[in-house]
Amino acid sequence: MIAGITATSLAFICLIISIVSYYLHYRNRTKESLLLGRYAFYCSTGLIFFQAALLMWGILTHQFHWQYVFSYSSRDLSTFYLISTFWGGQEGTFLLWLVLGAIYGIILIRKKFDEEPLIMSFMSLVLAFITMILIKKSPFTYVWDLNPARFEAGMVPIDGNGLNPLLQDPWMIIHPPVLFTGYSATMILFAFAMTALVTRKHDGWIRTVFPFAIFVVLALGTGIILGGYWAYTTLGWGGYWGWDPVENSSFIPWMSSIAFLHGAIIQRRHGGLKRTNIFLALLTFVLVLYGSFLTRSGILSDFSVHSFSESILTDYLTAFVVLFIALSLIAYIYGTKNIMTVRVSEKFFTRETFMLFGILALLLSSIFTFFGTSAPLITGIFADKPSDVSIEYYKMLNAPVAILIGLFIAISPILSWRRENQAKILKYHYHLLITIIIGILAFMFGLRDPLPLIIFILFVFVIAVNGEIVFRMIKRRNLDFGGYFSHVGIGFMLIGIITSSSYATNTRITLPLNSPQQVLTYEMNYRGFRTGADGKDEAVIQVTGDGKTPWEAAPKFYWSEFNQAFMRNPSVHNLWLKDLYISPIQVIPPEPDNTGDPVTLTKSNPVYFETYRLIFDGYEMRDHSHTANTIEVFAVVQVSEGGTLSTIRPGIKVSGQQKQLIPAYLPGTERALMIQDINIDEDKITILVDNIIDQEEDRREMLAVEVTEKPLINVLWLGTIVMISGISISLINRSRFKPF
Amino acid sequence: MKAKYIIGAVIIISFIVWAGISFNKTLTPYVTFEQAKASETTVQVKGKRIDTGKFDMQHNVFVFTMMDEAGEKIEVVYDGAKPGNFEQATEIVCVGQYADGKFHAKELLVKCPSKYMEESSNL
Repeated sequence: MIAGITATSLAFICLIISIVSYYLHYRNRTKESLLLGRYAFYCSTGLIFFQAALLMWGILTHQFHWQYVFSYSSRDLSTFYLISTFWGGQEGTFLLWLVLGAIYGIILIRKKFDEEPLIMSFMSLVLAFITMILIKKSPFTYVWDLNPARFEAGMVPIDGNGLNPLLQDPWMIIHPPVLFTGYSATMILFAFAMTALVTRKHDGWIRTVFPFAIFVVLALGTGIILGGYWAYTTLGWGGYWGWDPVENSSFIPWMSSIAFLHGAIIQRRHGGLKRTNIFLALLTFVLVLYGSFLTRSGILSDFSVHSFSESILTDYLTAFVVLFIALSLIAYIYGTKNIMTVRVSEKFFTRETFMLFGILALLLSSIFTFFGTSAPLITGIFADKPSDVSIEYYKMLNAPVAILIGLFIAISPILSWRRENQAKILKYHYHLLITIIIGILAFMFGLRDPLPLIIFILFVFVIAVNGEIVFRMIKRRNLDFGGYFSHVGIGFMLIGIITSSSYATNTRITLPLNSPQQVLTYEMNYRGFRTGADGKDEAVIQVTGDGKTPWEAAPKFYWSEFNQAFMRNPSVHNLWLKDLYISPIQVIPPEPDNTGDPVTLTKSNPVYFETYRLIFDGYEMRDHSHTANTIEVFAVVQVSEGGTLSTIRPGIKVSGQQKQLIPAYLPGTERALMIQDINIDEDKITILVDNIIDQEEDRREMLAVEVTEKPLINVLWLGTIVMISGISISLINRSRFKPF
Repeated sequence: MKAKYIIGAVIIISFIVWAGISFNKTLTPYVTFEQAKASETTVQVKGKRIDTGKFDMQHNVFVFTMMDEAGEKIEVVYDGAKPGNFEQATEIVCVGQYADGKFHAKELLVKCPSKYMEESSNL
């Protein structure tokens, strides 16, 4: 698509012009160079928006001869999911990154900061590099340019490959753009910190960058949490967080951005931490780059469940990361030379001291999660075969971090800035008392293990201290309570994480068809499969719990043509104090039992079997258009016994290379009828009818499921909402955030 | 004021030590079945599946046979759901431990040669 590719190249040229003229303006302050820089940036923004609009148009109007549209979308997707294919692949996410970067650039220009020339020069530099990636790998390439063997030039493929069904989820429409909003916004931190280094003005930038720092924390945090909801409700592995490289690469910069935000608070107050804050701002941006390099380059393809494969971009991405790390380092070393340092505090029991400890804990968590995620890279240097760390590493590592952070966000709000105020500290003994009482109650309710109990008690105290401060501030109509409010949210989140993971009860069981089983405290009855409203197959399980009204759980288990795999979605039932989480594991078809009686039926000729009169009426086919590879064939058999006539349909289901017999049952009995042989030429089928004696349960179809009870998971969700609201309140209040 | 630096240093040093211990303890090297038998820790074995596996209803686990890169065949017991694309798998990575003649996998990574999966997930 020539227009798209041209727009990418022109945008690149405009960005280069913008970098150069903005820099010239910084040097010589001529009006022309400033205007040229601005207009070049406006032009590149226009071109970036044009590309985005073009790609969106291509997706919505099914331009399947474009490689990107062909690879990630298809005709059967609804408009919502079509829109989300925009970020279904690499090129789209880079374009999204550019669009957001351009928007931030425009906002920065409109703010008319004194340092606009250098800030915008660095913004353009980052955008130029991302544009270069898009030139190398364009979403507008034609399919026949990429794969001439398979596609004839000029022919539009009838349909595309479609979107991974795992991504066809409402959460997935918003999770990636929100996360990328955060990733992209870290370039603002980079541009500001670099400007501070070049101009050697190490203080002024903190005030202007502050709202953007809050914005980064907000966007990354929201994106991570939305991803957690998605993992919990869609991926069947039972959790919201799995320490997967992709997840880690968003967690790592989030931690460092929070560290930076708190460092900025101290610097605004005191003037200290000049070098630390510049370092943290640069680090956050570099970690985002590194994360996107690690997860896209194919280095982890042996280590992650997410499918990474070697990409032609590996070299580009490596160069991109190395270059920006080098640039940041050099600027940092030269720019912080002979810096005028300011001591943060002389005293120990002050708020800034404990905030510093908190920053340290956040940074350690970020850095060591980074080392774990990079284990295959690091060990690859020292050994011939790279190794990876298991999930246990992150759990071992972040448990002490949680304790430290809990300790510091509980203590530091109690303390005063600069001076040691003992009277104020002593006022909090009520909070301690309440916390201890709640801790004892929790112990009596079964929270017995030391580590979870410590974390629980600590975060109850966090909520008590920070909650009371929020309460007092609202009473005084002081709206600057967002930070404390988000601490309350963190408290609820940690409590929810502890109770729902450490105290989850879990069991794996096979449920025979139509035979209620006792599972944990519930009675579960597997009723067979049906096609759900979204066209995916789901198992139906009737659940009765604690004498309450029964409900129907419908975990999905379906064949995906796109993934060439069976997919599972759990069923999550929310019960106020806990979630009941049912993941399907496997369908175990009844084993063909050759002890039954074979009966051969010829079409339209009645055959008598015991007291039944059977007539074979012909075949019925069902194929599901959404799972084109699945075909079901049923034999229609009329059964009459004692004057009652009914029709039953034993069948065969073929999905992929798998064949599965679908039994039918003689009316009013549990005796299964299964197809043994089909002879199409002679219109004959042979069916096998179960013997009456042979009615053991294990002869039925079985559904293996994993059932988990997750106590107090609602507390975690509540915590996420409180935390996000807290950060949003800070953003609105502290910055009086007006983008234009 | 001194106390601040001492505590900070204690946090950093103990954290580095703790992280080092965790890293070494949880590092799972790539080995063959032969080496896995001798190993006491969690390891990863890469190989090919020999059969399509079956669900052991007695123990509620998934069992299949795998041949590692050295050609040794061993029964793998996986404490989890059969991967949805198991039949299509060209290569399987098992993370776990060897015990009593079987490899007990805690994690299974399945790789498929799907024409659709070229760089599809990068979120």
